[in-house]
Amino acid sequence: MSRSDVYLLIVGMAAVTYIPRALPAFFTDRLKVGGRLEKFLSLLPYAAMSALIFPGVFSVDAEHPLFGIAGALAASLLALKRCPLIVCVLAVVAANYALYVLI
Amino acid sequence: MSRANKCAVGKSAFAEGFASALPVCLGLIPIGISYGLLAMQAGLGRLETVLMSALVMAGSSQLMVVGMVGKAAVFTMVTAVFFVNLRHLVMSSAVMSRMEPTPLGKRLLCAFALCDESFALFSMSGSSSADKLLGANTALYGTWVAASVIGVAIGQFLPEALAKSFGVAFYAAFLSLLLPNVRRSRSTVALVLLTAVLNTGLQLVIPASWAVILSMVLGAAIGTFFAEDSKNEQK
Repeated sequence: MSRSDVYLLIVGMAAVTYIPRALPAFFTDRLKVGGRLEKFLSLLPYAAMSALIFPGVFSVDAEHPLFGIAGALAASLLALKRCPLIVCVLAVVAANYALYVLI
Repeated sequence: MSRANKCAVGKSAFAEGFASALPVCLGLIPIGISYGLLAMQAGLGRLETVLMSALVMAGSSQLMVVGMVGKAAVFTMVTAVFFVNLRHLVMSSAVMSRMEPTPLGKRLLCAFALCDESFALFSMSGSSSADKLLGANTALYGTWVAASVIGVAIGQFLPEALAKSFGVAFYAAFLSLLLPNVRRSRSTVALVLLTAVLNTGLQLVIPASWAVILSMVLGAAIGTFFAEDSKNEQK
């Protein structure tokens, strides 16, 4: 991605994130966000994470598909044990690196 | 109240808000460092990485974009960020309706760094003070940007061979954000599976990055019909 593309991206992200945050400031009476809509908005992050992980995780490395799956399984185990994010990431990267070096 | 007194009260509310956020800030540090590291690996420049944190202040969407960079058009990524961060509209509207009468400028400032964490703090404390919210926001914002900088700094020194292994790092990061929340309820598991299936199917017919957005929106929409009511969940 070119430099200018990245800056465009950042500005775009900032705008689409700040506008929803700022809009209610103009309406101090509660914006009528109904029950279903509110639930939809709170579910979006989970759906987003899921879409980002599957099926992408199975094709992380075309040559060694198992590495991706093994890494994901390891990350899942650590995540379920409530390891902090950075521990999950570093552990999996280290394991993956070891695999590349050994195999 | 005299003007001087009002200022004094304002300052201490700010400090109170700031202090109340500190424990949560600790939890943000690893995520911020990870973001900085992963962004560097994805090819973003140092300034760009930190700038994103400084202007967007929304961890999960930043991590998401870092995973999509190079594989999706700018417009696609911005659209995805829009949807993922749309919940801020709801949080902000709840905050603004409970807030004491405050000048518009200050309300807009409060809105800037409003995030899951400060929203939760504000709601749980039963407060209505704008200064307190500003204090919390400032603590969280400062921590987030600083952690991103640290991540960038560490990223500089990673040996190149290690960079290849980072392919799986994005997935590790997303998994670690998603799974602890999935434990809580069966309906979240169902939501995750549904979205995964939708995404896989859609990718057969449309470009991958649009499939992500569509499956995310559809998955969440269908999820409203079976999801249990959950309390505010922290990332």
